[in-house]
Amino acid sequence: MLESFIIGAQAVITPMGIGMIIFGVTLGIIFGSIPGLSATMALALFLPITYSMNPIAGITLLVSLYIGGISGGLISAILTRIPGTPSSIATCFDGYPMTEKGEGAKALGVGIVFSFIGTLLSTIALIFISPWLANIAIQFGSYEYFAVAIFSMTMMAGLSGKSIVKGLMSGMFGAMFATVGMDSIGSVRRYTFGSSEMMSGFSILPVLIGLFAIAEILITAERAKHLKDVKPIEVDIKNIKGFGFSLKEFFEQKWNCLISTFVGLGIGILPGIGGGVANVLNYGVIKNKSKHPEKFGTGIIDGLVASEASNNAAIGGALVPLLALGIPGDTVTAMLLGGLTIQGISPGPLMFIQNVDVVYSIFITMILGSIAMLLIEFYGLRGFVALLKIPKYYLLPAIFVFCVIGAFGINNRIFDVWTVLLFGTMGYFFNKMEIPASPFILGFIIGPMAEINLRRGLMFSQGSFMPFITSPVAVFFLVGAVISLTFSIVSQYKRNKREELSCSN
Amino acid sequence: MKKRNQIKKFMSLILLVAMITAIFVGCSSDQGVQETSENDDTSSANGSEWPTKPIQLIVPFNAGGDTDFHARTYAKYLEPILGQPVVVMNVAGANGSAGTIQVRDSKADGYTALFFHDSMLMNKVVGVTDFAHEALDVAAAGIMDNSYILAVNASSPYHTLDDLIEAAKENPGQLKYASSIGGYTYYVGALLEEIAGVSFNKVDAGGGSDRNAALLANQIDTNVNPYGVMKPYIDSGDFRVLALFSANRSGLFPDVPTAIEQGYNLVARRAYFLSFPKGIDPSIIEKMSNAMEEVSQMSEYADDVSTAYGLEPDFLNTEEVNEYLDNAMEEFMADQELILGN
Repeated sequence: MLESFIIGAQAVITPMGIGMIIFGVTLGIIFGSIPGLSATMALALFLPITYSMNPIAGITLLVSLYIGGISGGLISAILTRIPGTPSSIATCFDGYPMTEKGEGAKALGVGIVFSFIGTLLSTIALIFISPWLANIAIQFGSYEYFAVAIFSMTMMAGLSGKSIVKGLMSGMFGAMFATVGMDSIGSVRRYTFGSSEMMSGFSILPVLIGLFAIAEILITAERAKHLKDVKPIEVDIKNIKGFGFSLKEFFEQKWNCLISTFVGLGIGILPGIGGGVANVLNYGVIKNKSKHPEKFGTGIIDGLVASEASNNAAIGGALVPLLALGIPGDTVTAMLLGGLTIQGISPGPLMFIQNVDVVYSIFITMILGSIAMLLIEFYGLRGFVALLKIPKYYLLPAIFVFCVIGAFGINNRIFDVWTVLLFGTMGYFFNKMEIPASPFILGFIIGPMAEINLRRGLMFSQGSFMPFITSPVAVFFLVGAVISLTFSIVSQYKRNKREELSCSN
Repeated sequence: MKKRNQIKKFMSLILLVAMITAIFVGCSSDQGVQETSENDDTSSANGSEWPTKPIQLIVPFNAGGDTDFHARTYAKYLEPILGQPVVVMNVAGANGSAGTIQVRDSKADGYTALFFHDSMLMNKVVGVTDFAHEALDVAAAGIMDNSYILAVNASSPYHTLDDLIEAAKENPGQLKYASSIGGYTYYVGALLEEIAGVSFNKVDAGGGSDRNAALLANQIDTNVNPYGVMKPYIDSGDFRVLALFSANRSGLFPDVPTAIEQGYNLVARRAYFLSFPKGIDPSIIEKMSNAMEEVSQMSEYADDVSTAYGLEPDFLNTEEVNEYLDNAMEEFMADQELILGN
């Protein structure tokens, strides 16, 4: 393991590598801090560029963008009460009241430091969990992967939205669109309508860019008319010591921080959900456990730590299934999956044998990136705050154009440009109808995985379904799928009931 | 006023970032875009002056695979010989036919070329496309992959090809032979079945690295692929190589006996060839073929291909490659039923 670390460190710690980390983290923070731009969008924009880089430099840039993007949302959450990304929703709850009380600098300091700790602890967990999981997963065959795919699909559908029906619908749409093109076993053409362009199907990256970047641009553009100019509260960060809080305050948060990291990590590992769910959910957990839950929401650092430690911990978590199984843990890791694929690296257990340098350079980047985030975000704060004032009508068209150019650049086909526009429009309507988009993308990735492993499995067993229910691992995941689906249905039923009650009151 | 200045400052920052982005993107796609717009008239199809501008070499697969590697290696050494940049572009999709169709439909001016292999023929045989090399002007084959080997897990009881065939005879239809249906290795498996008089359970286990994983985990019994694909696992001692499907032993791994030595007359190979759209000036083909021959004789080139894929340089000129492809097509067509698995 030490040897692998040295290989990874040698690959990353170069002027180029360090430059990528600083550039990536800085840009990630910018994308994270400006409401309407997100980490996913940052990756969508830069993915095509990494294509022309060597694999390590490319992945270093993407991971750095990811770390910066998830953390950056705290700036606008604390200063304007508008979360920069969904990962920072719960940061507003206590962060903004602190700013109103004149403790803005302290709130930022706490947010940044605990983002750092969350990232670091989850990276350590990632470093230990993923090789272990990969070692198990290397024994997985078609039966097991089929079960894992089914489990992942039920998880994301149940957890990613308010309505399980809409979640499932979105996931199924994703799986349906993924069938377009030549099927991967018998080369049968599906839904190609005689067009040779359609034969290669929709590529994952244009779909991702459309669904997450273009759709977000359209939505933000629509809302921009009604949004007033954001006016961040002025915060004096020149005259504070350290990060604005005392060691005593820091150590008071140790259990809070550990629990938050643990929850974030766990949620990150589950397929389909990441920081966006982790922060809100963990805020509730910490509030319930607290001795003084009534103080939450009035501007205490406990709430801030709960949100910021957990959302960044979800990064390490989301990378676990990506690296060990090839299944993305959230939408940003779905982008990373695309980024690795265009470099000719297929994420999964074999990465730990064939691409040790890439795996360990991801680990090293996570560690260095979190340090870079700590320093850049804190000392560059004034710059980031000023960036909040950039009018959207300058930003959005530029990003739109680069997204489309990028989509073309990956495979040099105009068809991909149409794909971006098609899925961008679709993402826009999904948003209007409150259908979550992340199950779509997981359906798009996992659907074909389920199909191909089902068909391969049946070839292996010469047509018998028995091995799917006699393999212990497969059974474990299939039972897990049933449990997770039942759980989501029951909890939704309860929630609906509660809503009915509160309406009738 | 102060605020406005600030905004201006940040606008210029954003612009800067945008421009950096443009430069980066430009690196990967600019050449290709310019190409199509500049293509008109002036320099077209004049063989004696060719090449006067960059040549785009389309690889019909994603970056990182064997085809991409061979194309890029050639591009690197062709540049100084031809005196113009050779820009590799990846147009993946539909098992290589998306890029092939794009080149077939391009202008025959010598500035768009395709780097592909025998799968172009296989695509026609299985019905993915309705044309093969006859729809293009083939210049030369840059390298032949003669390194198809049959490997088993080192923990398996099979030490020779005979051991494996015996086991297949005792358990007809049980031994799992990994391949993708309609792919070349599926055909090799079908030929082996015919020659040895056995039947395997020919299962789909994905591409090169998926199959390595499956063999590593003992989910399949045997796997046929070029040597380079399995090299890390052969070096680590996880896989045992039983046979090389070539006329002669390889100079790079001479310990591996050929299938022919073991009594199974089976040869497998794949030619990586460069082709232009139909109707190109023959002098361009000649120039390209000569330039590629020159590359194939370079010692740096030999080093590159042996390190990456365990191959020795092997060049076919225009006449030879056309003959090779015609023969291969005839053979595939005759064995169409074996290939389609009927």
